[in-house]
Amino acid sequence: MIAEQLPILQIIIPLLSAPLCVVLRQRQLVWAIEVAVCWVSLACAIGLLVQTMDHGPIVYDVGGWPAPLGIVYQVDPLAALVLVIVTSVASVVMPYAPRVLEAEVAKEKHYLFYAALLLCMTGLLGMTITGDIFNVFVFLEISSLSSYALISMGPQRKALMASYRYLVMGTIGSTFLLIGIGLAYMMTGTLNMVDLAERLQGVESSRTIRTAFAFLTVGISIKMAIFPLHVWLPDAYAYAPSVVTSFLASTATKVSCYLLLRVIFTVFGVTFAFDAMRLDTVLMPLSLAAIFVASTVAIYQTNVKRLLAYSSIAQIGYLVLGLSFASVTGLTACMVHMFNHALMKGTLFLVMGCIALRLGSVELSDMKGLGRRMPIVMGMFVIGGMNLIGIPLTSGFISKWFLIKAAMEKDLWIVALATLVSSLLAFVYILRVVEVAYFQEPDAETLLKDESIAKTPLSMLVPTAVMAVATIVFGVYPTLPVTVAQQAAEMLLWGGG
Amino acid sequence: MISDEEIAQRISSTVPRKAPSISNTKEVTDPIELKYSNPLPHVLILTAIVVGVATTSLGLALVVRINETYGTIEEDQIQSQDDDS
Repeated sequence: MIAEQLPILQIIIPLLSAPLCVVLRQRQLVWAIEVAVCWVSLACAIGLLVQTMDHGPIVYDVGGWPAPLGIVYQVDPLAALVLVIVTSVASVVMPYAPRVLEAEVAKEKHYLFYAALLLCMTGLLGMTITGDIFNVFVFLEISSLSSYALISMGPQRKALMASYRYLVMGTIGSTFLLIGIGLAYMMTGTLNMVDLAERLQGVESSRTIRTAFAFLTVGISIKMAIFPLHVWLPDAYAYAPSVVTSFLASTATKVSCYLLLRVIFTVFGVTFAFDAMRLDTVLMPLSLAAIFVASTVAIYQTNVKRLLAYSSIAQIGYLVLGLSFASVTGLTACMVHMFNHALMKGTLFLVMGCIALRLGSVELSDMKGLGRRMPIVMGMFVIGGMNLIGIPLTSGFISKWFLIKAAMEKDLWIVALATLVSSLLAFVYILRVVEVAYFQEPDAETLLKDESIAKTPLSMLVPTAVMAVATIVFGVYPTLPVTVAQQAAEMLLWGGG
Repeated sequence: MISDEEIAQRISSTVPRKAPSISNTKEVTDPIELKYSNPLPHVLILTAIVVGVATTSLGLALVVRINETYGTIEEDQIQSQDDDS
C-alpha cells in the first residue's frame, strides 16, 4: 500500500517539512526534523530503486489524473539512481551541518537555512521524478531560488555578489528552458514528456522544434555549468557556507545533467539530437575544453574551495563527454560518473568544511603542515583526491575506465588519450594541496593559534568518513552503480521505458 | 439567453480563438475548440509570472543586502572594495 505511494511521498515529505521548519523555529528541533526527513527520503529513494530494478519503471498519476492531462511522476532506473544520489548526500550532510553552521551563519537564521535546504532538496528531487516538462521548470525554480538564498548566507561578504551573479545567470538559464518548453508546447500541445516525444515525430524538422531544442539545451547547460557557461559556479561554490557547497556540488549539477539526458534522449530522441542536430560536434569539443581549461585554471587557485569548484567544472566535462558519445558505454560512463563524482566531491567539500571550522579559512597558504595537525581529515582529502585523479581501486577509476572504453568503441583514440592526459592535470592540482599540507612546515604563529582550537567534532568527522569510505567501496565493488547505469543507458537509447 | 455562438464570439474577441494546442497548419474544425480557448497556456504564463516575481524579489533582497554590506551598488566599487580586503 505505502509502496505504491512512494513517488509522491518522495516529494511531499520534504516539501511540507520546509514550512514546518519555519513555523517551529527552534534550532535543535528543526535540525532533528531535517535529519529525519532526509533519512526517510533516502528510504523512499532506495525503495523506488529496488522497485524499478525488480518490476520496471513506475508511473504514478498525481491526484489520480492519468497522463497526458494530469501530471505524472515517472521513475525509471536513471531517475531512481539520481534520487538516491540526492537523498544520500543530503542524509550524510545533515548530521554534519549544525557544528559548522554555528561558525558560519547567525544562530537566529538557522531555521530559515534548514527550511531553504529542504526546499532545495525538494526541487532537485522533483526535477528528477516528474514526467511533466513544465513541472520540471517549476521544480527547477524551487531549487534555484532556494540555492540563491543559501549561497548568499555565506560567511564572507563576497557571498552576496556570488549569489547575485548566480541569480542572474540562473534566471537566464531557466527562462531559456521556459522558452524551449513553450515552443515545444506550441507545436505539440502537450507537456507530458512521453507524449511529447511521440508527437514530435511528425514535426521534428520544423524550425520551431529546432529552436526549442536549442533553447532547452542551452538553458540546461547554464544550470549544469557546461564550459563556457560555467562562470557563476566558482564564486558560488567558493563563498557559500560549507554545508551548502557540499550539498550543491554533489547534487545540483548532477540533477541538471539528468535533465539534459532526459531532454535529449527521452523527449527529442537520439536520432534527432545526434543525427539531425549533430549535438555531439558541439558537446564533445566543449567537454574536452572544459576538462583541460578548468583543470588548468584549478592548478593556479590559492583558495582550495575555488580550486575544487574549478575541478567540478572539469568533472562536468567528463559527464558531458560520456553523454556526447551517445552509446550505451558512454551513457553508462556519464551516469556512473554522476554517482561517483557526487561521492568524491562530497568528501572533498566536507573535508573543506572541517578545515574551515578549524582554521577559519581555506586558503592554501594557511594549510601548511595540516597533514600533521589534522591527520584524519587530510587523509580523507587524499582519498577524495585520488578519486578525482582516477587511481585504481577508487570509484573515480571506474568512471574513467568506462569513459575510455566508450571513446575506443567509437575509434576516438585522441579523446581516450585526452581523458588519460587530463588525469595528470587533476594529479597536479591535488598534489599542490597535498604538498603544502604534508611537506611544508607550519609557521610558529599558526601552531600557537592551533593550540586554542578544539579538534574536529565527531559529528563532522563521521559523515566525512562515511563519504570517503563509500568512494573506496564503490571503487572496489562497482557492481551496484554500474548495473543500474547500464540498464538506464539501454533504456534511454533504445526506449522500452 | 446568449447563444453558444455569441459566447464563442465574445471569448474570441478577448483571447485568441485558435487554441494554442493546435499546430499552426491544422484547420480548426472541432466545435469545442472553436468556442473555448485552452486554459493551459494561461496557467503556464501565470506560473511563469509568479516565478518571475519571486526571482525579482529575491534579487532585490540581495541588492539591499549588498548595499548594506558594501555601502554601494556600483559593481566596480564593490569590486575594488573586495580587491582591497
